[in-house]
Amino acid sequence: MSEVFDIAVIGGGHAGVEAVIAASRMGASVALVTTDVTAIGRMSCNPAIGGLAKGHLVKEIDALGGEMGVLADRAGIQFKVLNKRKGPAVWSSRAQTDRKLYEAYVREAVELLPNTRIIEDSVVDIKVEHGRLTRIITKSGSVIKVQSAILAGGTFLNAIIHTGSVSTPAGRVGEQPVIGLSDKLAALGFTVGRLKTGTPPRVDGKTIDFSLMTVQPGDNPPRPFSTRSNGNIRNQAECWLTNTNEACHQIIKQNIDRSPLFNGQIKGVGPRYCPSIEDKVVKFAEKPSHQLFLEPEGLDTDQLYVNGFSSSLPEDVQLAALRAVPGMGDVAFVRPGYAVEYDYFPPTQLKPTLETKLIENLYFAGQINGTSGYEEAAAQGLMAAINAVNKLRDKPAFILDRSEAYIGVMIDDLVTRGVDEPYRMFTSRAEHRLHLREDNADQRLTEYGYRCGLVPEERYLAFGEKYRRVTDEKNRLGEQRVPTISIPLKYKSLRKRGAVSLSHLLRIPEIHYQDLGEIDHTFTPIEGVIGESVEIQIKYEGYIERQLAEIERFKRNESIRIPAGFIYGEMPGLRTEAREKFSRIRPLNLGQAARIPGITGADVSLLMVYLRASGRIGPKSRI
Amino acid sequence: MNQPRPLDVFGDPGHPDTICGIATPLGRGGIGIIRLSGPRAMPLAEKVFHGKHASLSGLSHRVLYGNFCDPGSDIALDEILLTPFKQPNSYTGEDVVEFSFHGSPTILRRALEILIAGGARLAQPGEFTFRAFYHGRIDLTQAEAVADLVDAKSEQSAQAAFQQLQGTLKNRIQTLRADLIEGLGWLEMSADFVEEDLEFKKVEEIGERINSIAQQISVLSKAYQRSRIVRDGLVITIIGAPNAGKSSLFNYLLARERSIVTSTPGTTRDTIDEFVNLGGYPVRFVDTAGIRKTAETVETIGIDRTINQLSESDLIFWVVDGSVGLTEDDYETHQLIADRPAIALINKADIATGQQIDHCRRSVDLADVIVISAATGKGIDQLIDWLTTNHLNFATDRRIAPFLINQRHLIALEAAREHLALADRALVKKESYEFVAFDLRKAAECLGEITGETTPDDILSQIFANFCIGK
Ligand SMILES: Nc1nc2c(ncn2[C@@H]2O[C@H](COP(=O)(O)OP(=O)(O)O)[C@@H](O)[C@H]2O)c(=O)[nH]1
Ligand SMILES: [Mg+2]
Repeated sequence: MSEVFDIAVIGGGHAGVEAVIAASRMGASVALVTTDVTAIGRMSCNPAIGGLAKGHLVKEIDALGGEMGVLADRAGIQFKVLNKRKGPAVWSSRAQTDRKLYEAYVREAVELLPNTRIIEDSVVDIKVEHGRLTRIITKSGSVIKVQSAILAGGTFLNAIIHTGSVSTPAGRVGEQPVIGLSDKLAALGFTVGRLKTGTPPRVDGKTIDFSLMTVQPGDNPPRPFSTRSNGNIRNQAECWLTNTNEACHQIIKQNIDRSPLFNGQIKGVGPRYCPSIEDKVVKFAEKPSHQLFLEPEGLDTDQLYVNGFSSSLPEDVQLAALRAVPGMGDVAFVRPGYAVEYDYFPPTQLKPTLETKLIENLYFAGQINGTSGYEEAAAQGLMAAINAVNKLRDKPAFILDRSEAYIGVMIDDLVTRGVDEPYRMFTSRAEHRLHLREDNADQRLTEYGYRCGLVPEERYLAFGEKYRRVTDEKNRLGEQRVPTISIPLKYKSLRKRGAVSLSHLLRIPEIHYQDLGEIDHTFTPIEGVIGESVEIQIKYEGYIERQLAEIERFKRNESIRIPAGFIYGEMPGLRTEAREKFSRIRPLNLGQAARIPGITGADVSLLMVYLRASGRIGPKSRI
Repeated sequence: MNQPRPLDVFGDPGHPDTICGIATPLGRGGIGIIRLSGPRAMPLAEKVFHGKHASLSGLSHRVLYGNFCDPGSDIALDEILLTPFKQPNSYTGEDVVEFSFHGSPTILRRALEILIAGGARLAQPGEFTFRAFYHGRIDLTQAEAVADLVDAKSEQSAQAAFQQLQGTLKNRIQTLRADLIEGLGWLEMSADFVEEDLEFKKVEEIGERINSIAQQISVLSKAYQRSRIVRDGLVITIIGAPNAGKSSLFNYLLARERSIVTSTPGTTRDTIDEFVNLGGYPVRFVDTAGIRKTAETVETIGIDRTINQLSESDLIFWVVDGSVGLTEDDYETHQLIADRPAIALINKADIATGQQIDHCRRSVDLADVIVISAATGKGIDQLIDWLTTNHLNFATDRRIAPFLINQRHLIALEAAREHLALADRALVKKESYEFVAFDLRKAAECLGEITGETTPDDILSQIFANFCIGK
């Protein structure tokens, strides 16, 4: 093959897919190299997109011009906003999706891309000249010339699947792992680590007695992820809730020595927040029961995914334990749960652009960076692609800071702190959480997506229009007044006499935007997201303003840049540990330097004093 | 607080000058120390020092005896003790030489001139400590403690600063912060694990944690008042009518408590003040001209100045002439001191009649009254007792932490407490947990600022602004 591609994307999972789509839309020529073309966009774990903090990521991907939100809406069969009883900052969208449909839509989206070649093969080596990536080499022997490459190998690198004592080399059940590439990268100087994750059994819905379970319906009306999917989504399936019991736990305990997690067979570190059922039973021994959610795998199948029962126990133990659970007495497996162990590259080896520090023009995205989850992967794929294309065009790096997006929080965490277990997004990771909401994701990021060339003109204009309407509506609420006597008595907290503005009323916790028409008959509320944005902005104005003030403060340290190639060896008082860490992480600014684990306030003060005193930051720089 | 200086006054620490300064002025026994630090400290010291050894290499941390000479004339200036400290094991982390002189301040000044002629530069205030910090010898709270030690006007003060130098304040704050972050963790669990059926800590438990931390913070805040007193002195202003005996009392107190720490001349003609050491604490007595009405106008002279002085005082001594009784001016004074901590001192007990004193006592209308005589010293012991019990009794008050809390600490502590109060209010109002968490996070950040966990630039400048030369 003599052709040169701008970008090779290695791996067709969720990171790879966003990367290919973004790079292609930005006008780059792209080669997608994947072991199995039919598995592009496959959901290896649960048939759902979004969830706590992950919904935020999907909305952010959507605002930047990525595709995951649209795909999830199209393939979605049940939609729900989680945490609705809490404040708007932690509302998170989630959708059950039809696994097959999702795959099909992803495949379609990728195949329709211009300048994009899909190559069914696997990359086994890369060629580097003068520290820059120049070629990728595939198993079948092709040498492909590339300007840059995004490695998005998911859990496939040296992957091993465990079910009981049976361990099979495989990336997913029935799919070949990628062997050799991580050894090659290790030889080039990369550090390789080992992680573990698990997945629960898929069961046959015909063998389940749903009358013993609680139905979990979707929201009415359902709400889409993407601003591009308005009105086209509907709830078509239900989830079911049941609980484990003592009998089930007993079976697991009796067979615990047959779990590869407990008998030493698995060495990789698993996620604490998503423990296997055997972990839960052992570590929370005092809990008599754990929740299990049965999630539909699709519309044309009876298969269900048993969320909460991830396990690497032998199949017979899994089955016996599950049969003790109400409604599952006769359950039959489509496939047992399993654990997968795989190679990852500790992500502190990356720059905040996701380019590796070691090899220029080589980017890493997704699960190989130690994250878990489709959404986390997709967001990285998108960011890696934008940066790879920008770099080829000599455009500045695209880095979102922690106050701008969950994506920024995640990448900063990865490259600054690294991971010691599979990294999942949480709202608590975002210190500026009250500002990083789903409802304003478009407001935060559409501008960037537009400037990257990922958000088309027409959508950009529509976005501007939306926020004009929000502002107008806020003004209208501020001006329109109602006499207090006409306000229903149930809003007791109202003490004022005379007349009050509608925005004043909206600050009362029990009064919602849509109720305002009831109180003031001359007022017609706007349906949909505009009303919701208005309500959030007015109701939580105090907290939002304080959060924004905090962000101002945060930006001060972020704006003290550390020159590229800064030599820490020159700083006399620096502790050896700090010197080693600064040199390895190479923080871009003082704020990032302060977030490196093990770095003390004294180290940072010292660095600041040094930068200042040695004139690397002038006294005029805004600190 | 002093105006912060920009840090660049210290020059480029990457290419340091050799600096010199007087580390301790001539003190008891007449010894004064000059400190020299920087890359040229050793060769320069060898040039001016004539002792048994021609070279200082290999003599680190040893006390050497010899003469300090002017290399120009070779005339010995003084007999001295010299201690070389090889880097990095020195106060600043650089090569340091300390010279102990016997001579007068004039000799110290002359010695500095000789060192400067030899290529050293006079240190800026705080520059030695800055270099110690810069070379990782001390951290920020310790640097601050040095500043406090420098200013220490009493033993109590020195002790508290010393404890802080050892890091105890830092430990205390770090413990509080850790408690806070644990509480925060409980809240975060509930925000992030809605899908799980985890049992969350009850709201009350979190509320209790918040309140307990707030309480401990207020214990630290209280230490500010005491810290201010140990650092700057308890300010007592003596007011009263002319000839009531204010100056006589002032002089008596100074003469009685001979351990005068320092003396600052009054800034206006109307007041003069002196430090006295009472039970280890510095007390600053301010004698005022008093308040009087002029014959011509009803207008009161100096009233604004007096009001200013009163608002800067911790305590007021109102001296009344017992042999005369309350004058019209005294009623003026009485108005002024209302709502301020004050004690009435009925003076001239030696010449006033019992009846006069009783009458006086009734008319001053204050809770605290002591009958004294500035001429004979009657009642002064009682006054001192009252003073130490009521205003300098920190040792026995267990609610007050033994730390020096400076203004920077106080601001951060109070901010932390405010955030805790907001968090508690949000909790009580049953706001969603992420709002409670917002303020808890802020509170934790405020505490972090004290220990230098997060250190904005302005804090650095503040700290190094509080030094004098030689430290
Ligand atoms: N007999 C007697 N005379 C006193 C006493 N205190 C002050 N005096 C006298 O009262 C006069 C005024 O005293 P001074 O201290 O200057 O009063 P000030 O104007 O309040 O400062 C002087 O002549 C003092 O000697 C006292 O306790 N007993
Ligand atoms: Mg006088």
